[in-house]
Amino acid sequence: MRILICGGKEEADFVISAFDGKENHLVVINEDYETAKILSERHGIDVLVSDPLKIYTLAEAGISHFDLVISLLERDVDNFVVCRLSKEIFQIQKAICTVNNPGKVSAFRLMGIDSPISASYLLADKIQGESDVSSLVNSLSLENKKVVITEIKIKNNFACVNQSLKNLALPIEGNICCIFRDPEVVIPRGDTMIKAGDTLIVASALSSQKKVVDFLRREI
Amino acid sequence: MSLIKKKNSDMTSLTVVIGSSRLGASLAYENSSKGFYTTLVDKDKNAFKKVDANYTGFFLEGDATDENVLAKAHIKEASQCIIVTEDDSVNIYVASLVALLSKARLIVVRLHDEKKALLLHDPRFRVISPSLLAHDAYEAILNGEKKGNL
Repeated sequence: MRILICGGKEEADFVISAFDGKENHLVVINEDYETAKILSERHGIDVLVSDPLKIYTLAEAGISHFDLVISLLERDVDNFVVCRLSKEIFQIQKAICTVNNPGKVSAFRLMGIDSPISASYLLADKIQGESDVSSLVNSLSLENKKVVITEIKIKNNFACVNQSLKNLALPIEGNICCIFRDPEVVIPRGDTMIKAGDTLIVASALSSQKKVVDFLRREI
Repeated sequence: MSLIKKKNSDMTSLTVVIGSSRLGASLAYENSSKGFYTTLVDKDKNAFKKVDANYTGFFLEGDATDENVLAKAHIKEASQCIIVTEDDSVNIYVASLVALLSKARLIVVRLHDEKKALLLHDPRFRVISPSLLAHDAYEAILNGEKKGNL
């Protein structure tokens, strides 16, 4: 994957470490010379010292050939502009940015930014999610919370134990994508049986998550 | 005088000016002196000192990138919005937000980098670019000089 990372200090360092060397091609733009020098020396990559808010800088970085842009600038409005320039002028499919003010996350989404990331917002969302569903399940939101992946640990006393998927009558809004049955990973089919100790990976719409989870965690 | 009072009480003629820059202060005064209900917004109250003493509109101290501040400025009811802070990123963000929240017929935006006007698609947007205006003024001066020579 070709990834362009704009701005940021510690955040850029962390993101570069996460993506570097995994068949990814990274290009970094940072206006601050000292930060650019540190990032370049630490990761052995080229860093373009320029202002990512300028269209000519993005063009010089070859942005139109990239798959993903990550904007980590200090100001929310600058991240908004970098993401909009990337998507609308250079037709980049995916643009992700940090948002310091969690109150702006909804507006960013409404104005076409795929993935605004706010630490405070994620924290509140996580707490909300756990109180909504159950502290015993982990969940992950995708596609602006349209899809949610939920991890459910199956206990001995659950009604679904020893049931095949075709006989389970799982609500139509959910689907079991995968079963972790240590040490195996089972891709389920209609005749696959659910066993105590399994961990089910379930996909559903966010609005149906509680219904699907409650169904699978019903006790005998 | 009664006409001015009537216009001032009419929210359909509300103009919201974002950014008390020299241009913003001047346009806010211009609108209020024509009898339009006007609100001037800036996050720095000292910037309001640029406004003419005869300005009859309202001042609102606050960050216009905050939806709550725009709500206090009655952006939803505004007939036009003029966004002229000194910062292009702020202007683009606020303009996009205003287009989302308001039914304003006209949204005027100042951009120092006129190429970024490509981000402002809504037909209600009108972009003012100081460099393009200066370029046009230069052309006009040049044309005037040529005619003078003839």
